[in-house]
Amino acid sequence: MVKNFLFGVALSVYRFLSAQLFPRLPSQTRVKLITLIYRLGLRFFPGRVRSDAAPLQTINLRIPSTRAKPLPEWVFDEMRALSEFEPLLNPSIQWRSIAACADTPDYSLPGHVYAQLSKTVNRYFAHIVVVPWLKRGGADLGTLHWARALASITAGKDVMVIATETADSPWQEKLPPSVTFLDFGKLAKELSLHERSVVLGRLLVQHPPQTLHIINSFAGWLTVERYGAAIRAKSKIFASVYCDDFAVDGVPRGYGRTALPKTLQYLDRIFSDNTIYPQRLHLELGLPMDLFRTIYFPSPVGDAEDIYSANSNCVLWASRLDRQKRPDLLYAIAAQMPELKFYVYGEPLMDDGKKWQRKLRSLPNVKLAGGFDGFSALTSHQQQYFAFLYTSAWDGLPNVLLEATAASLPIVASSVGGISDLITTESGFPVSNFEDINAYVSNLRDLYRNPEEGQKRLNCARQILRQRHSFEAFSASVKTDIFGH
Amino acid sequence: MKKPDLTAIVTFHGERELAQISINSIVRTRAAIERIGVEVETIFMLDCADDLTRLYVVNHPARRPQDRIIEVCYGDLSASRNDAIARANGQCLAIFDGDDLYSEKWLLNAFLRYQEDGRQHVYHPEIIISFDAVRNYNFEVDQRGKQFDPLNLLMTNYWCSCSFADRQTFLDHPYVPKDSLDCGFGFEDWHWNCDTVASGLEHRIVPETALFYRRKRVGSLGSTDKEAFRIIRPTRLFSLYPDASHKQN
Repeated sequence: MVKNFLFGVALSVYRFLSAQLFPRLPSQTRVKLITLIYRLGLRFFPGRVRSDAAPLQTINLRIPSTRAKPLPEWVFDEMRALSEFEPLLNPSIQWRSIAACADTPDYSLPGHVYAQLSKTVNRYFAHIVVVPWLKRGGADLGTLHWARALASITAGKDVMVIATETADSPWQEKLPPSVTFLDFGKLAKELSLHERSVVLGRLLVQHPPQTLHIINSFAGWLTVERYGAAIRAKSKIFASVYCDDFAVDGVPRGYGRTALPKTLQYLDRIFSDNTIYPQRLHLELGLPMDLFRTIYFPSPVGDAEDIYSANSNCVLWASRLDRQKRPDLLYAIAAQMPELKFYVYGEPLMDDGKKWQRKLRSLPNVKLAGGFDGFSALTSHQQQYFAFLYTSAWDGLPNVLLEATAASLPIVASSVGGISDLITTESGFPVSNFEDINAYVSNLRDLYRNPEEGQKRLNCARQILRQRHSFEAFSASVKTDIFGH
Repeated sequence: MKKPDLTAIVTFHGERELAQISINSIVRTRAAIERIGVEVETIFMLDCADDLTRLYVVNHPARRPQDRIIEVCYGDLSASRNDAIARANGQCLAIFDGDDLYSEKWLLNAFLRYQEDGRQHVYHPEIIISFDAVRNYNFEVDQRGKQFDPLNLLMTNYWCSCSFADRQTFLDHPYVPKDSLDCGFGFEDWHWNCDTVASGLEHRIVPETALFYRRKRVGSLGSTDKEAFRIIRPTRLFSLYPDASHKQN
């Protein structure tokens, strides 16, 4: 809390200085001052400073004190003599004033970070998965699936997951014990993105794995972009992309659109958890379809507790309270359906989410149940529901829908991204225009009034789960696509 | 027949008229060492050289009958240097690039240091003066100096390709040839410096010597856009655990 406050103060001071003071400084002084501020920022607020900020590009490069050292006179005598062969070496007064001392910088910090890797990377790793972090999230869950599959297929201890951002990774504990976790982001907390990619590139070239898999790691993507040709000499390179992200301005972003097109020539395979996103990248960016493979994430049907009741008037909504998941739509739907009760799980991540949390709290038929760590946490309260509601504006194939299906809940969901791979008019209640509040309301009403239809569609969804989303199916796909057998 | 004390190896590719400028400078530094009675063998290595470059090297007025011109077509600096090293007869070798210039006392002072300090060293000029498209200079780092940190070699290369060492040093540490232009590896000198440091050799500076390093805007192998994102091959210096992968590349 105090740290957040201090960061806020530091950020305000920085913004004030950059507006009022920096433009007035000579450029060299300005660069030095900004570099110093970023260094302090990285030291005291690791993880809070944008790792792709321009001033960080070569933050640990230090110019030696000899930089101002002038050339000795004998050099000019030599140049004078050699200018007989090469007039460009004539040591005119102009040459003396133009030529700058450019001694080799002291740039050893990235090397020292690299050397520290030996504590963890002390033996061969055949499979390396590179992620930003491991914490609660759909992509992180996907990483756990990948790590589990690789560990079970190789049956050895040669799988390593590398987290590249300076952030906590509480989910590292969920990795199989045989998988090694390298918290590179923590070791490299004083390194810029550029420097991280050099260290990572060196590791991958120096001790090349059989396979490298990039999942949402900025530093990982950059490393492939820069050194992909060299890494590919010994390793197969894979990447996973799940869906677009959308900025506030509505423009689609995300690694599928930014990093993927620049690294295509180095990638052996691109994985996704749904069929829709690859098609979209193919149609909109011209990426070749045959590079993509859809591997559905596992969600075993038999493991989940049944929380469905035809007699219930309760709807479950469980997601992050942020602009992607559209709590504003949930608010509008709940406001129109006072006869139903909405149980809302999830925490706000940004200010906007807090605003909607407050508004939702004001509705009498909404119960805010707070954050949850995994779907199983929702099934342990003996509360029963007749429907699961999902209002996301963009997505891959969210795990929560797989788990709601496994827990026997019929689903009303926005038909965005990869969701239509699971929720169709056969297997659920899709809403084709995700902002169409009336469509959510009428679907929920139909489902509430006609539980038989709900069960019919749920059975269809559960059948899809059984066929496509078992761990065995996932593992078999990984085996085929990574190992070719 | 008595073996020469020193072999000067000069590589050419497409230097054209710049080749004769470089040879003039090499002849000058060679003359300075020969004045104290050191016998120098010179190998001009033409690697896929274009016609104009060949013309300048073959017809250079300062070329002596005993100077050797060897034509190869590796299209690769490392491979042509290694070939020349294998053919060299000198006790010690000096590596030159066919478009750079060298201070008069470079060979003389390097040879004197070599005789004093023994063979476990690689010598470089004290100062590099870049000219042509870029004008700057830098003092090279002595491995026994305070500025040296082997881990700096991850980010930057300390030493230029202008090297002077015992012939056996070059035979024990060949330059690694490239596979093809697109394999993503590069900076053979940087890699060579890393490997030699890892093997225990020391890179030392020869006072009062200079390399005049021509920095071209276009036309050299090192000026492609992709060059910036090349990476040096695996080297023992950066092995995190004992393995042999650096030998396989």
